[in-house]
Amino acid sequence: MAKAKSDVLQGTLSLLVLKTLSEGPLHGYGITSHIQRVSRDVLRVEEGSLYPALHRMEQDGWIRSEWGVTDTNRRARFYALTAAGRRQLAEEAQHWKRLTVGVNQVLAFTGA
Amino acid sequence: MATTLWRRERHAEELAEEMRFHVEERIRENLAAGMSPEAAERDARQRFGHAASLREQTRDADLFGWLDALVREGRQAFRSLGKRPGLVATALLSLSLGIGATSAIFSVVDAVLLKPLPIPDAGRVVALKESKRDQGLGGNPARYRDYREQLTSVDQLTGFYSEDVTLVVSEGPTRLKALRTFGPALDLLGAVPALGRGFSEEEAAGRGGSVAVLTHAAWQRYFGAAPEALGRPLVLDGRSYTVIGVLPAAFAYPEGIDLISPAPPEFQSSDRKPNYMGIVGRLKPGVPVERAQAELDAVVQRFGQEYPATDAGLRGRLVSLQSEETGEARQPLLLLLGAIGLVLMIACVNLATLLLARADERRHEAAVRVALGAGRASLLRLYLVESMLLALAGGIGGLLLAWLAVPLLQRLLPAGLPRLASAELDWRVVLFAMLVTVVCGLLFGIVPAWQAAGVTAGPTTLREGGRNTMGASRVLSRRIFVVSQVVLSMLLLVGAGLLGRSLYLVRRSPLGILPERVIAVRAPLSWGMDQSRLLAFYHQGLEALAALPGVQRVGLTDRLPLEGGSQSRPLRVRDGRQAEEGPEIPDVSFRAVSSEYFSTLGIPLRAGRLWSSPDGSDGPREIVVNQEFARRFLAPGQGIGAALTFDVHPEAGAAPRWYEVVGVVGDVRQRPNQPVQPPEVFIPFESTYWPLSVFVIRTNAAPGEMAAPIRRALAGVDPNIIVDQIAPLEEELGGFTAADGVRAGLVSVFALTALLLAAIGLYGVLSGDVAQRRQEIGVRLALGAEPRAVRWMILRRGLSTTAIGVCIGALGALALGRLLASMLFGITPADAVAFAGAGIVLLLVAGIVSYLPALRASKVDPMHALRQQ
Repeated sequence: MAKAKSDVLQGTLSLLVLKTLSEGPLHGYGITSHIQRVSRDVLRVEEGSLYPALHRMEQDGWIRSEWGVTDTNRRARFYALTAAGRRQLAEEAQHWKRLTVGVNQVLAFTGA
Repeated sequence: MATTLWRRERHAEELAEEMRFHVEERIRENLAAGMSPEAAERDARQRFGHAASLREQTRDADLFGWLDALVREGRQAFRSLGKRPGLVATALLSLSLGIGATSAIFSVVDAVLLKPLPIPDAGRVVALKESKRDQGLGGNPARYRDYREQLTSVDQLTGFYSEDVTLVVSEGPTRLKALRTFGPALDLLGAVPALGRGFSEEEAAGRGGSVAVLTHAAWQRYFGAAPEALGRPLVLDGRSYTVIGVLPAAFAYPEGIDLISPAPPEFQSSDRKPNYMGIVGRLKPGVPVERAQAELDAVVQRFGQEYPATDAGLRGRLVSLQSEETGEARQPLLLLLGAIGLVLMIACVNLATLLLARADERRHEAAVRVALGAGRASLLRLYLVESMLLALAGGIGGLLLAWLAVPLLQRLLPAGLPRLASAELDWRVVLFAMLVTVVCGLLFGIVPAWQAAGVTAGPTTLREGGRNTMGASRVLSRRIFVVSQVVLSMLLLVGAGLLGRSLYLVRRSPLGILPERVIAVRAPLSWGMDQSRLLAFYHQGLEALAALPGVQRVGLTDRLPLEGGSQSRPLRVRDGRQAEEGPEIPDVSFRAVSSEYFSTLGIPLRAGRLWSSPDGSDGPREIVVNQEFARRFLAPGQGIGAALTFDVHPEAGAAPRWYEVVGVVGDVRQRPNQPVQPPEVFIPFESTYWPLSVFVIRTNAAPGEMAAPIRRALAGVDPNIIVDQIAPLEEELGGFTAADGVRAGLVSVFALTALLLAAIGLYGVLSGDVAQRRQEIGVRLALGAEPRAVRWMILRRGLSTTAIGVCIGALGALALGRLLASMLFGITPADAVAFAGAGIVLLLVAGIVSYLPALRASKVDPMHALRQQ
């Protein structure tokens, strides 16, 4: 039985976060809801993995964070892509495309 | 680092706020989606999962994270301990006492045994110990001269002996302690005079006139610290010395001397016969002691060939001066340290039991923490921080106590301990106390922390809430704790029992004398006083004392019974059995006494008579032996009339001097710890030179009333004589076993403390058992169990736990007992009485302590207990 909502594939979280942030700065909660919404609830980001990932990415210099105010006037930490992050995004997206093409080819193979 | 910590702190707050924001946003959305507020919040929190561990993970990426956590947990532990003043007080009290006593004893051990002697490069200073047939032998000036010439691997070889000299000042005669030296003593000791100069080579060899260097204290006392003291004459024992220097105040070794002066010329040039001095030197740089020893062996071998009359069979051994100085003190001090260490361990186990109970109470709290995401490691750390905090407080209290206890110990311990006075709470002791503290904190913290941290966040634990339940492993740990306490107590009780019983036997076993109403008077004369003056003083003194009202008899002896020490000589016996003289008997101890000595002390004459008249150089040579001597060396029944001589190897042409055995006297114990009385020979005091003789006076008056007349009588004989001590003989005899008494007393106090701690531990565990098994006991009683059976159930548990500990402890004590062997008198380390006594005491106390919980168990109200379910 297939799960209705799959957890984000190991290793793709950073790709999703980078892609999400390429649209503009966002806070952690915004990132989860964005991914969930855009993937039409197929992808669901575990909060338990999101924040450590954000922290790691910030240390790697792909994203930076600063405190800002939301539309609802709440103080929140906003994450934004850095130049390094943009390069990383391109690289990871490329990698992902190659991977899916390969996987699709294997799946499409029906035998001679 | 502080800024990092501060930054981390801010970082943590930011993380918290970020997550709070996240949860709030989720709740808002959930509400918008139509959830009930409770459901909305539950969902938000659930989704967030392990918020705490999330924080931990994010934080652990940081190097200083753990330190930061430590500070936070320290605060937390502080707060939670603050809610348990009872626990804190117990811990503080027992740890302070334990660590305090341990540190105080360590400070003495450190000062006496561990700290290097206060001389330069003390580690390389060695003592040259000579022996013949395994009997220690004093050094001889002629041999010393040869050693100094021939030993190339040892520098600054110095000979020394100490003597009491009399200085007559306006207030009367005073006794000064002089260190008499051969060779470069000041160089060896690193003593550079602060004023004046040291000895020239001529002076050091006794040839440059009589000179002396004063210690700082003596300079202050006798010269008012006046610089003019230099060059002044100092008349000691009628001989004039020139003061040429004053040592700095920091000079500390050897202890307790007033002046240093080269040995007089007639001593320096003496022949190879007298053996009385110590020899010390410094190994040359880079020379290992083994090589120096090999060289010494070769030199001593040559001596034996060159001077067979004096040096045949001579052995020489180089030992570090430090170990030589502390040899006798070592074992008793380490025994005390070990004993107090055991007490400290019991205190730690007690605290571990307390903390274990606390861990039980906190299962719910721990479960909540785990549910919130705390890992096992962080819980372990939190609880360890708590026990460390307790240990730290105990350590500080302990240092304070040690500070008070060190002067007390200095007064209590035998004054003869070298460098005892220098024991203090210095950084070494503080470091030791800190180390002990940390070890204690780990020791009593680790098991409870481990168990507390082992809690799972399972629903059972959470639901159990505050109910007092214990897992099987916890029950087991507590039993193991109690058993180990009993084991440790058993060790101490057996030790105390052995020492106490030995002391009792020492004090109880017959001395061979009647010490009641006998007064001992010590008026040591100076070495170097000539024999005729010496004998004149003793003869006149005996007469003057005998003439005092209330005095029945007066005697003179070189040493009191039990005082130990003796002079010994090899001898040969010629008696009725053999025409020729018998084989050489090595080193028989001899005592120089007056003939009235025996009757004064009530020593019975078993056969024959006492010597009739003093042995002058050409008078009749008569001698008295003790029963043991007669039993071992004389033909049965024919002892009287046998002859013996000390001239075992007469020089060529000289005939040996023979003494006739005229009497046999009862055996007298001469050493406290000597169960078998050695053979002894008594010679008239006139036939030997011994200026340290003791007058013994049998009176029918109170000793207190006699002191003044005795002083007057002796002053009448010689006004410059210093009477050191007038004391009842029984007091003096007690003094000879006082060190044993202190030791046995301290170990007994430790053992009682251990017993008390173990009893508290057992009581706590049994009470916990009863509380935990209330329902079960209630059911038993409801089903008709006899209260007596219930009582016995609990009692049996206490007794069986104790019995296991007693058995293990007995085995341990058997193994450790051998260490005590040399301190015991009349019993073996496996003494059945001490072992049985310790076991019975422990079981008895266990029975008493178990009875209360047992009684409480049998009084459980079944209905009440069941309703609690």
